[in-house]
Amino acid sequence: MSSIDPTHTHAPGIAPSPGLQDPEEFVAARSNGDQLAAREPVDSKTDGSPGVLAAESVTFAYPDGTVALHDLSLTLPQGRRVAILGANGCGKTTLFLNFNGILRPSAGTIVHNGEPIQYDREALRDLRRRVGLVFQDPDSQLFAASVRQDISFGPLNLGWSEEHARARVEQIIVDTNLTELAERPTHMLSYGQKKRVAIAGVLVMEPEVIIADEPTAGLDPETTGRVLNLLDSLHHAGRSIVISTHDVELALAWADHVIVMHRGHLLAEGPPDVVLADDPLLREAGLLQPIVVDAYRQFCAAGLLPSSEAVPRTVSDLTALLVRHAAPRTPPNSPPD
Amino acid sequence: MAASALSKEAMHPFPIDMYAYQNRLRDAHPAEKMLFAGLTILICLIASSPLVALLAIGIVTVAVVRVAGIPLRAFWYFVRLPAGFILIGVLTLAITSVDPANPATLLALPIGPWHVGVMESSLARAVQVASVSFSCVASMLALALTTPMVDITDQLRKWRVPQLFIELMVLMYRFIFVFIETAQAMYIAQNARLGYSNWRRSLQSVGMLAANLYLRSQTRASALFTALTARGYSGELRVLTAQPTWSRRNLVLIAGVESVLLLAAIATW
Repeated sequence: MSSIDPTHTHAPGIAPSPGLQDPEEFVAARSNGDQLAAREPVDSKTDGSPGVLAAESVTFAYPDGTVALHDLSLTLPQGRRVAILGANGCGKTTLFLNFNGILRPSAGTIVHNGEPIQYDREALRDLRRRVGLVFQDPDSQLFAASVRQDISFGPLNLGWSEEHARARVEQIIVDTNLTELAERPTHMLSYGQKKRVAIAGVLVMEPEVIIADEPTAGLDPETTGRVLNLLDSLHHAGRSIVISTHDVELALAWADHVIVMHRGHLLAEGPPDVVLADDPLLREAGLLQPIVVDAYRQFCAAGLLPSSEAVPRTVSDLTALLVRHAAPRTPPNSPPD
Repeated sequence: MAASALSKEAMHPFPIDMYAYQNRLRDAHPAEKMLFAGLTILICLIASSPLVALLAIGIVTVAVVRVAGIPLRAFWYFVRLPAGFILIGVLTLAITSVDPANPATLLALPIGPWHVGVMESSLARAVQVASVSFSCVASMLALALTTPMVDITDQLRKWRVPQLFIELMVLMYRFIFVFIETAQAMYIAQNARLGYSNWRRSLQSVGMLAANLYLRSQTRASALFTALTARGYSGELRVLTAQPTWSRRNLVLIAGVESVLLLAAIATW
């Protein structure tokens, strides 16, 4: 029973391969569950606190009449790792552009730190510093000829002094491991490198919340690991991190709070092990149940596990459950009575 | 990832960029290189002398090959690129209507009642224009092959060149590569579906590619605008510029070489 090797039961969406250098930490954290288990249990309810950002009855229609958000109300809790899940075209990107003040709701309000956001020039500048938006396609975000120059764009828009901006840019280049790429022209970077530069370009503005649109889409497992490590380190520094993704395995293992959207509506929000264990809900949203949850359910059905346990979030959580429940039946070296 | 594979492909049409980032003068002050190229072009244009132009080509070649360490073959490859334009251009200068009785006529072909051919003066003019053109091309290339675009725009900023002009340069430069990647991806996709199987299909496919590229670039532009706005863009693309250091040795070298050229120009006046 206890011989299930976690390294052979990875979900396809995560697929860490052994022998990676940098993301090993990330992979290890996911496959043995140490970090996830060590995390203090977070109460995913927002306790009526305003959260860092919130949408209140937001409706948004594009000029061509497409209604992307329908009377949407949700709260992004402060200091958490939030994953917004939903099929293509469910309104995630539109919501993000509303949070950053680039789009303005047709009806309803966006609330930032408890205050409805204002759309005058000064307020927007402040909002865009505090709410950093990383776009899905780094090619639409990077414009400058060199990595260092591109990163320096945001700080100079904030009106920081040149010395301050320069110091921040250098610090971020070091923090995000971009030192070797700093002089490179942006068009010579690989897709994954562009993605990291795009994140650095947002990070340098010292936002309170970082919203990343599909940060891992199209990335190989190694680069996915790097990007998630980077986001995790930002979270440890006290920031709220919001990502959008289709990857239910990633959301289950990584997030503290998940939000499921469907056709511009909020379908569900809550702790990942609750929301992502709701198969009918996920199907309605055009998603599939995470493989770990599926396996857990099947083990429960087969009588290997009692269904009273909390849903495991990683393969190693599941393995631990199996080990725990298998142990009493075959006690190793039980003392003779 | 297709995008990353393509970005390497996209470098091939632009090896100039590769040399600009990997030559021995990469870290020299961009103003020094711009000064060298600019002064050489200026003297060649003012002197308008084939001898001065040839001397300039020689000096520039030595600078590019010996000092910057760029292979001679690569340098000549780029110098030859505009040769077609220049030669066709000067051909019309060399060939004029001539008077066959004039002793200065080198070649005369009767066409009806007229004579078309080459005269000493027209040939001299053609040689002059061609040599001066090549010297300017070589000087410009010396700059392009040793100085990344980002250094040039940085320097132009310091020289207070109008912001609009620099922003256009920056965006054009960036989007050349995005454009090529997009076009290449579309071309491969079309080719994979036999879009270029015959002449007729090829013409249709190229037409569709061009139309699509236009639409894509519109979408790109609006996506870029959105992304820049998210980072606080308010009408000005400001970025930090590098702070290169001047080299006394380089300045002395440039002064020496340009003086020689200037003296040659005065001598051939």
